[in-house]
Amino acid sequence: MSDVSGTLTAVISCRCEIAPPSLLLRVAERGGRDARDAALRTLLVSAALRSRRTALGATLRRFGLSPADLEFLPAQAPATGPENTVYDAAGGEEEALPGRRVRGTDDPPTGDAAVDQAFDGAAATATFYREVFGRDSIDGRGLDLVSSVHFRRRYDNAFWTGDQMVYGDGGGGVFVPGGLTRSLAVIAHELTHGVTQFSAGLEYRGQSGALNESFSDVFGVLVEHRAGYVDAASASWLVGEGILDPSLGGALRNMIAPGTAYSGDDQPADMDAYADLPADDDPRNDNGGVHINSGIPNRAFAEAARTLGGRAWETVGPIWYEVLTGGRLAPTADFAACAALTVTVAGERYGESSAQQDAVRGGWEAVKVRLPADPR
Amino acid sequence: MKVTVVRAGGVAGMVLTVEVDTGELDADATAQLTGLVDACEFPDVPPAATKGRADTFDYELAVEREDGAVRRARFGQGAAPPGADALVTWVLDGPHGHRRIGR
Ligand SMILES: [Zn+2]
Repeated sequence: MSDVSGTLTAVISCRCEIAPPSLLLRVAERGGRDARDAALRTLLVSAALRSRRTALGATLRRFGLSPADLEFLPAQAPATGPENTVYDAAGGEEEALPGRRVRGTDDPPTGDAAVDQAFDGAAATATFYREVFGRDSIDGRGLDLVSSVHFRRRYDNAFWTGDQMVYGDGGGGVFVPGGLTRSLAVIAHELTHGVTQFSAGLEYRGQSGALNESFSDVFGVLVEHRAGYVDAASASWLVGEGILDPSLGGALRNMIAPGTAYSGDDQPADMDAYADLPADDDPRNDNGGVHINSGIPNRAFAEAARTLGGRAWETVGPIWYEVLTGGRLAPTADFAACAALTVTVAGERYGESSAQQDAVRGGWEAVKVRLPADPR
Repeated sequence: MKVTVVRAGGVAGMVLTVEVDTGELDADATAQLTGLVDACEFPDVPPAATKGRADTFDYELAVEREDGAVRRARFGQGAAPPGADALVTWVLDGPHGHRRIGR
């Protein structure tokens, strides 16, 4: 992308008239190679120059690019905040995304619970990252918040596509109807997958994938804690409480007691019970146990937070945030590397041998992840 | 004929297995299922994977004929081979399946 970035920088410095995107897309798709390149560059500039970046993801995807290819562009002014928009997929599938626009940033509630919960949850999550960590939206650069609800029929899932949120209605036997948008922890979990994508970029397989899952659970729960004034001592440490079909159980995950959230929950509580699964194409193996072994770092966090008490988003949360976004955690990091980094960061932030650093050490010791020797 | 769908992953990370056996179906449902199976492709090379996307579903679809022959396809959400999505939806959402949660 280096030649594109050079051209873009040059073009941005002039104030060119920009042809309609639909025309440019046609040229980009049907034109010769030179015309295609020129149209693509202009499209990217037009998208990047807009004060709002909704729909940029779709444009990029169309040309096989990732948002990282636009990293060189100047960030949006933080004061404006991201646009928050909800779309109705009306039962449609991936091709139908994002769907019909039903609520924008300044619009009043629609009365459709899924729309309004997706809107409020995205806003609460962005507010959390801005007020607690000074982060400007999911990518740290003001990325617009885009959510689609009513995806497919009775769909028992919510996910982050790489540039937007998608929610099914539930009611397919796993989630209660409306459950997926009702849980702020689930919404923040999914949006945190976006934060991870734009920061540490943890590979979604094996231990790095389990860390990716765990960071989403950690910040998913912290968003909920802060919104509800919950302190670490009295917190349930449940992720997605009360949204599973009652025949299954009470929550998706239990961070302080992994493996006890629902009947069939097979999360290990420590490394002795680590599920050593291959990251192959067998769906049962969960990309090498990403949703299974995440119980181990989840519990390390919860134990540390409980030891310190108070507001977990102000005690252990900032340590985990620095580890995730500070540029030192490798995309292929394993539990031991992540654990060692949390101890280092705790020392930098609160002092070597501080209560906070000891609590973080204690968390990892509880789940039997090996740490570098304590110099004391 | 026995059709088994395994759906795993998602934000819940649960494994759902649903099995439908034509021996337990009436003639109408058997005809529907047979039609969907006949229209489903089982490519030797799996379609472009969506691996690496957090919390999307991954699927395994297996069809066991009366003579014991088994055809199998594994694919990620949004990357189903032709016909597989309709078959999977019929099995997962219909009233005929035996459902089980667990690995
Ligand atoms: Zn997840």
